[in-house]
Amino acid sequence: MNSIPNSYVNPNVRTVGVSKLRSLNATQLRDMDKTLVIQENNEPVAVLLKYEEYLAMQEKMLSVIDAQSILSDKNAANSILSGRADAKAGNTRSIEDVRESINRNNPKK
Amino acid sequence: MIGYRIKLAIPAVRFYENLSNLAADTESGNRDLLVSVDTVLDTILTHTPTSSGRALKGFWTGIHWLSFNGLHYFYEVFTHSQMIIVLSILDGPISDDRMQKAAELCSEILLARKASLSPQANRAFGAAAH
Repeated sequence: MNSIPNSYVNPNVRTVGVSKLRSLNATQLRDMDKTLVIQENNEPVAVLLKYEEYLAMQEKMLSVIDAQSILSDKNAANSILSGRADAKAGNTRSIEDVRESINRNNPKK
Repeated sequence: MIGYRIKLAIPAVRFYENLSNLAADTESGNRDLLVSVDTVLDTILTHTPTSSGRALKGFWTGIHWLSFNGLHYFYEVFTHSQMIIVLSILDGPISDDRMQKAAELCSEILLARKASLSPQANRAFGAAAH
């Protein structure tokens, strides 16, 4: 079975045939409120979506990739684990307290 | 509306102190970076801790993470006591091919079948869509 569960992915996704592409002009593309999955013979071949949506998705993906990259770094992971142990042990300081001590030690700021 | 109280674990305290010292002693971009950190701590995390960040899974369950202006915040949220503990604030390491990877992931999500969509990828797509 080749059909995509579009409604699961996004309720704004619509499946259309390749021929639909030929009928779209620039104005229609600008006004498009749906993401189009282009199919040929019931097989998805491409996706057409608003440029803003594509940029937003890339931004989210970058964020995921960055986090993955950090969590696989030993020093970074150790820093988070150390913070977690501090939290469990109650070894924390309020942000106000941290700022106060910085201001005391560095009155220029 | 009163937001969450913010507490810092020692790694986050160290980061904040270092950045504050750098921002005070130089006229570099560290001042802007400190403003950005303060925005996250005073505004974003205190008012929308769970919707601003993402909940990590598996070994890291219980920890949320938020990326903002090139820095990554890892924190725990305690809803009962309206408190957030920032465990660590980190920059990098960022891989050079991150843009390429992001584009590939976008394509993968758009063409993914239900069974192969991870919850995280699905959330990312949902948040990006209208």
